Amino acid sequence: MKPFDPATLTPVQLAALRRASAAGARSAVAAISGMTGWTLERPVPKVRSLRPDDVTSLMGGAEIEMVGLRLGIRGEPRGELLIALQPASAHRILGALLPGAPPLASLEEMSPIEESALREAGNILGAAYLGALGSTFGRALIPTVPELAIDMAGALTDDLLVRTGRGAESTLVIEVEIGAKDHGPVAHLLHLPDSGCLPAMLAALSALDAIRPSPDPFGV
Amino acid sequence: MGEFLVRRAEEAPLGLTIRGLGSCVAVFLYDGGRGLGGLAHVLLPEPLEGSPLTRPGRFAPTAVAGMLDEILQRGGRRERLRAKLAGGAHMFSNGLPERQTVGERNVRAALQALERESIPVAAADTGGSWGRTLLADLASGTLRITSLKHGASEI
Repeated sequence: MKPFDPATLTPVQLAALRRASAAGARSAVAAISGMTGWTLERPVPKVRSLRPDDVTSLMGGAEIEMVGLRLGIRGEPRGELLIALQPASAHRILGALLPGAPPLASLEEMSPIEESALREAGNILGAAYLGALGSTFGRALIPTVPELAIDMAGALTDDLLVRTGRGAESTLVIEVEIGAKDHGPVAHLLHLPDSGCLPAMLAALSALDAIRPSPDPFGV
Repeated sequence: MGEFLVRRAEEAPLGLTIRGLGSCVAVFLYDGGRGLGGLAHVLLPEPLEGSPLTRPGRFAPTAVAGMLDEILQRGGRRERLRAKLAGGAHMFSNGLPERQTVGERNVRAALQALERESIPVAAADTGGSWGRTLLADLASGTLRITSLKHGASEI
């Protein structure tokens, strides 16, 4: 079967995906805000079909150090979720999840306890995003156990593309940049729905749009 | 990513580079005598069913074959060709032992493709759990590798 080409998505379909992911993004931002105590800006998801090279250079450059939490998505649509925290945000989250623990001088010094705490943060954030996203179109999106890597942003996205890419020309990327007024960039969330599952997701979203009176049911 | 470039040293005096290589594998093929070579950033071990073949650089066998063709067309000599490999890392860990990773499969597919073409592998820096940035020098055939965790090295 010929794979679904995300570059063929219409503006209406992209807008429907944007509205749905905005609900997920707001929920993830509320979770990060709860853990860090930071006042975060309202997230505005970008939904685009990107070439692999463009995905690699998201998040400020391929060689920037980020704390990556990768979650596979089970349920329909399957896919991959990367929650990439700025190192400062990861320190802050560790402080919140491990109260009383001495602060780390560097993330390289993390013990298995800290690694496990960051994976737990991945669980909380992934469940917040996927729960709210899935509820907009009546599907349960279940995250797999989070995996952790602290490395160059390009090497983290490279892994995501290997898992989802199938070598297609372009990949649909839902990107949420999370920033705080006083702290600049805090985290990046990249959601790559499996292209084979997109038609079903779009059908569910358009069926919902058809029965809802408001053209903007999620208030975005 | 998913592409290859073939250049002469004088066309690319700063070398060819890949930034932030993770589980993908990079294949550097060079003809030291001519200062001619190519660098491929391979995404997957092989084309999957339904994969478009418009981008041979995305898959190990087609990337090696495509790069070899172009090097030979530009005057490279098959018997002088050498390969160096880097990448194929296992980036993400869930704290449990892993089965075979896609990084390992990428490396194995690249090695098999090179063996099919009878191109010797002069050096390799593959696997591990860290990302790499590469700079391939076409005049010397040196591959410079830097990572956040292990600094710089050359193969």
